[in-house]
Amino acid sequence: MEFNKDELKGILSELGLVLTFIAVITAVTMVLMA
Amino acid sequence: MKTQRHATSLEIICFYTGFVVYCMSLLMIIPLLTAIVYQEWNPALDFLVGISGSLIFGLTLMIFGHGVQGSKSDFHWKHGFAVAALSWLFLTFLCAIPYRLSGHNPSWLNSMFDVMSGFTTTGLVLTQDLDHLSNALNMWRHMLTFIGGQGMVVLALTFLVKEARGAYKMYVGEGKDIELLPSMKGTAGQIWKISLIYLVLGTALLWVTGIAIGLRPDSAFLHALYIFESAWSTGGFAPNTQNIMYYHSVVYETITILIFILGSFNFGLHYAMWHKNRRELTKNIETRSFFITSSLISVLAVLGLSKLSVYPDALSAFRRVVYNVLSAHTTTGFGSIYARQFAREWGDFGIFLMVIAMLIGGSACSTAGGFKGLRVGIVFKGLLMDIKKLLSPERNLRSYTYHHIKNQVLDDAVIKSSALIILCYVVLMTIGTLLGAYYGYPLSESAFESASVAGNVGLSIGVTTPDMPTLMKIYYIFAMYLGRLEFLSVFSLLGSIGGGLRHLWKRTSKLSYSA
Repeated sequence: MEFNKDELKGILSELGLVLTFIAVITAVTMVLMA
Repeated sequence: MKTQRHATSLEIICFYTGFVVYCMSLLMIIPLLTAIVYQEWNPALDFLVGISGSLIFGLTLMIFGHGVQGSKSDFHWKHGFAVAALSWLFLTFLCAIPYRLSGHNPSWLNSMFDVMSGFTTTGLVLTQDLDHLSNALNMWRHMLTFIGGQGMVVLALTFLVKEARGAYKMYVGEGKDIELLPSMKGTAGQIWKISLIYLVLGTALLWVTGIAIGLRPDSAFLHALYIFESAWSTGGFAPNTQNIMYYHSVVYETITILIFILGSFNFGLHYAMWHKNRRELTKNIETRSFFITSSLISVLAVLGLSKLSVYPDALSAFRRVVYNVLSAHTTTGFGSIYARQFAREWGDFGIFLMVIAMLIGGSACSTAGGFKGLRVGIVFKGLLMDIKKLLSPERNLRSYTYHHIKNQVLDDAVIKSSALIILCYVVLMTIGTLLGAYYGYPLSESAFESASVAGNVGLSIGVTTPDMPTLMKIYYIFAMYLGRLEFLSVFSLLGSIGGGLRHLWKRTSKLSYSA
């Protein structure tokens, strides 16, 4: 199974976007509960 | 000149169903090896019986349909659907053999319930005393949910030496319909590649976190592997009764959120992202739909529960409310509160929001269930299209599109088929709700559990227990099966059986008339 640089960038983009979503939803929760 | 004979429909269906069963039975070798490593001799024997039974059954079917090889076979859509639907049915029984023999399930029905729950990545459990299961059975439970998420037909296709005729039809029959590469074997290979790379990354991350929170390294590894398999396949199984609460760690919980959200994405989306099409994640109609609906439901749930003063601070609201909403929306089913807390603490507003989240589900052609963000997006866009058409002076001249991997035309046929599938899910959930109400469960609890089953989620409000009525267990098995295969394969199988019986009836009547 080959694994190249583009695929690694793809994984990092996916992880980055989902982590951003989790961070945003956490921030919204903090605001709502403040 | 010798003419090639045509294989019959029965031969085609038997051969390929047998092949899928054969491939799955070989996988039982992994829990068997686990049993040997951990010196669990009784479970090893259970798996030996399971492997033998499945191999004999699979090979018998293949021998019965061996006429397919070397003959002309016209592989129609009905064959593909029948192979997918029958493989799932037969395997539900065969894979239940080690469950039944383990002593943790008092009946075949309970064993088959848990296997169907694993295959369909639902995650509801009837197996008793989860905390004392053998390593072999735990390995098997989590493998079932991982393989179920990928699809058994997808698995079998990767074993094929060369491209099979009708491979695409079998693949679609399993509720997946995206061609990543021109060949189906190549597409199946890509699906496995994506999942296996995330398996290595996710397991490593959970393993390190497990050690950091105090688990023994070997135990942390097994927990990491099981939890990854469950999270990625949006299954919801865990190796203990407390589910995700067992770990008492916000970091562990956050990693699982990351994995189950990624698992709920379309394999086509992963493939696009990995092949330089990075904007797909923000452009795709179903990821947009997921981000909007999950954020909206999370916000409403936090607002509703803060009004009831159930959770005192933001951290507990995130860990108990947002976590469960995201788990429900991705149809994972990991629970960060006990089942009865939904009934006692969340109130009707919270329960209703969870029902909506569970029914919407994740992405099409992913490991997730529900009626899918893609269909929600299409129906919503279709509604906007109709309103625009009414207000626009050009009326029907303008064409509308939506973006899902590529730009696609939004026409009435697409909207109608999406709306029909959504309707089927709502009917499936409504029947389950009525059945629960008939047996005396409160309506909201019955609706919660029924949505969890129809959407292949696995969160429970306490209805699913070993002593629930038998009819409800049977209906839940059927609903999980229908929900996972997205109706088409099962309806097609039932249609084929009905057509076959009618044909047989006509032939018998004709023979008796002429006699």
